[in-house]
Amino acid sequence: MTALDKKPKKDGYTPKFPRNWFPPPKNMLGADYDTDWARKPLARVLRAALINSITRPLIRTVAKPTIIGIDRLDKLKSPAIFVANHSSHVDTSLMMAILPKRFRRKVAVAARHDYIFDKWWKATIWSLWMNVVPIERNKASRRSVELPLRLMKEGWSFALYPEESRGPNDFLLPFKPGAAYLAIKAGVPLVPLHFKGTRRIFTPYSRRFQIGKTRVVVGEPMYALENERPQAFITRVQAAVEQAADEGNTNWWAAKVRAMKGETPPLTPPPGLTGWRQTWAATKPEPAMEIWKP
Amino acid sequence: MPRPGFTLVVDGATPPVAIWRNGHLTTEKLPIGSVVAYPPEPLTPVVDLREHIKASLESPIDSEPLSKRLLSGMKLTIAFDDITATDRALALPDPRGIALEEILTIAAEAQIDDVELVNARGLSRRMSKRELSSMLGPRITDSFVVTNLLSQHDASGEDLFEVSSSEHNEPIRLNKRIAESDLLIYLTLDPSDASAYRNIASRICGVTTIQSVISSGTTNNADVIGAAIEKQTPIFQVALSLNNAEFSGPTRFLQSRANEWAMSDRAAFRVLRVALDLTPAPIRERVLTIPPSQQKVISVASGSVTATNKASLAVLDKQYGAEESPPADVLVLGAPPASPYAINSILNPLLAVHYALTTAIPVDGRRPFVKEGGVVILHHGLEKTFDPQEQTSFIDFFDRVLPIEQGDDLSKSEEVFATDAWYIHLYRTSYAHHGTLPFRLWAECERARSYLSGVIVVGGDVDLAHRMGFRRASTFADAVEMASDITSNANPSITMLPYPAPRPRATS
Repeated sequence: MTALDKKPKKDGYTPKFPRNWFPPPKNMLGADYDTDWARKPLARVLRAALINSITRPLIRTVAKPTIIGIDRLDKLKSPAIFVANHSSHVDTSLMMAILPKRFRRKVAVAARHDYIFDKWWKATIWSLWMNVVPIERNKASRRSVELPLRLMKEGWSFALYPEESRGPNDFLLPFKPGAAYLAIKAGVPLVPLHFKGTRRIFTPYSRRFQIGKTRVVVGEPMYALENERPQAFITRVQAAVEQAADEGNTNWWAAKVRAMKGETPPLTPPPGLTGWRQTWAATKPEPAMEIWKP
Repeated sequence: MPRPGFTLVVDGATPPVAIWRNGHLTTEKLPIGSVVAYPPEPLTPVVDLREHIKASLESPIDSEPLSKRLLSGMKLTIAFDDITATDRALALPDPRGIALEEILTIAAEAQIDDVELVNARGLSRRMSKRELSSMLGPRITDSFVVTNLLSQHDASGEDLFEVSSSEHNEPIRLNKRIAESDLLIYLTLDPSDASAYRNIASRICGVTTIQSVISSGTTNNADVIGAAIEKQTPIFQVALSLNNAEFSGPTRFLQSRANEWAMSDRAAFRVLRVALDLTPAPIRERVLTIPPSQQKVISVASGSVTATNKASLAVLDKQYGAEESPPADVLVLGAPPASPYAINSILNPLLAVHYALTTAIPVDGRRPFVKEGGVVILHHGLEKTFDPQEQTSFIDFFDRVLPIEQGDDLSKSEEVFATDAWYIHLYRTSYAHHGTLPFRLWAECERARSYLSGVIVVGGDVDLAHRMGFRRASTFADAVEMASDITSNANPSITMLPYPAPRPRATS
């Protein structure tokens, strides 16, 4: 059988070795962008080199992360879905920098199909560097569900931002249940993470990095309860992210006690607080630490 | 304890005095008997600025506390002086950002949802997002700049609000957002001798209104305009007064008295002088306008516009007031290393001349350093150097409008510049000053020129000096010789002003 005898696929793209080791044609963009090439061995080796030589040193220098609770991943088996609050482009790089090697080398990141995958060069760079896959966020398309499920079946973990977008400030946007749906379907745990300080490092309006400090708190991996609906599951996950933030601000025990009493400080804005007052409240500086005096 | 202003009388033992000249530092040996008028040393800044501002907002002059004037559901606009309020951008954190944070905190506590900020820029260029975010700080940037709740005033805008006033010939055109607000909080760094409302009237109104404020002999216009604005929208003013610490660290000696320089100061001066001489001109022109000013807040006053302006002027007199001395026949000034209209840009000849003449002959109510019919000697190697992005209208002003004979009517040319679609486009969307700005600066220079017998520029382009209507001398000694001819005085009295210059005393 010659190459001409091969029946072309519907989209006109005929993958043939080594063609599928390279990015798809320029006209294939958006939700249809095929990212399989970015999970071939060559791309994985390149990605590991990029992350180890550029991303991680850069994050260590610029973001100076303090990592809390990473030991909670010790007994966790791949795959898993990592969910976190999203306030900056630095979030994904930070996640790549702090995850243990066994997760880092086999994790895909869900990204908006209309943001990353609108230009061929952006799609190529981000697919290679962060292993992003396109997800349609405004509609529940079949591909947006099947692709992550197939990847998790192949052993790939997933990173998702349930807020779906970087919010206008550090208050949480309501979590969408997509991540919980995928976790229930694939039978994998959700790992809640809370990032603090990343907005300052790379603000949405700036094109330059600002050196600062960040904090990552890794929460306990969570499984869906029997017959639990995705919305109920994601509500629990949101509470876990809030608990992780509380743990970062206080300590494990204090956060645990407050969570048991249902007194964890919410990360969502108080009702009625909108517009500029919401951002004003979100950016309120923390009180200076008082020096202990005997 | 900072020392007050001081007049140094030059004698045989006085060393040559440092003077700025077109981006270079030089020394000049002044004739014996000349005087150098130094301003007082920088006053000690307030220790906790936030607390000072809070206290001032709670106990304003001639007004209710701000927290009582802010009511839920009101439409609040906060306008602030733009980057041109000082000669250079201020070192961070900018006190405007701190004051705005305190004001906004009170507004948030009062649960006011409809709050907008206006960058009161008058005829000067837009500020870049980067400049705004560093001036205002990350909190205000996140809450207002990113969310488009901060606008930069557009004096050529078509949607300006017309306020009628029986005392003003034509309608006063005011920023629409401000006109529709229930309260305007105005944050200023720049009090004015001419009128308490001069700053407001020249920064948040339309072009024609601003033109009637920034011109010769019509200073009381600002009061009329200000009263009309205040009738439309009540104003609560917050005035921050800055000290004169332009230089700090290793360059601090640049504003200390010449006869007190230590050996280390002399060495530093020589190093700086050689470094500036060796720096290529295109780099030097820009480098000098970039370093931030180290001025710090020495007093905060809030309340009614008139009362806060008066309080700020009293503080500034303490900071900048020169020692009492009679006006001289000849006043010597160096070209300033910076100008409000050249921040992160280039100091062009008109800006240098404007600085010299407005420093020499201040507005009414203050006694000039130079006698009527005296001479100003400006150290400035005049060269046609302009920033093509910011100073487009200045370039055309030099090419198309100059030379101007005394008494020429520039109103037609100004009208052409003010309505030119290209200048308006650059002013609105790019970073250019308004087309009418060079005419307004020139009008202020004209007022000073009509007081003097002549202006002599030391060094630079002869043709350019003549086009501007000035005489040109090759050396300082020649300039003094020429000045004695003009004043018909073989031994004219000479006063030199250093940079930063002191303010003359009030005539009262």
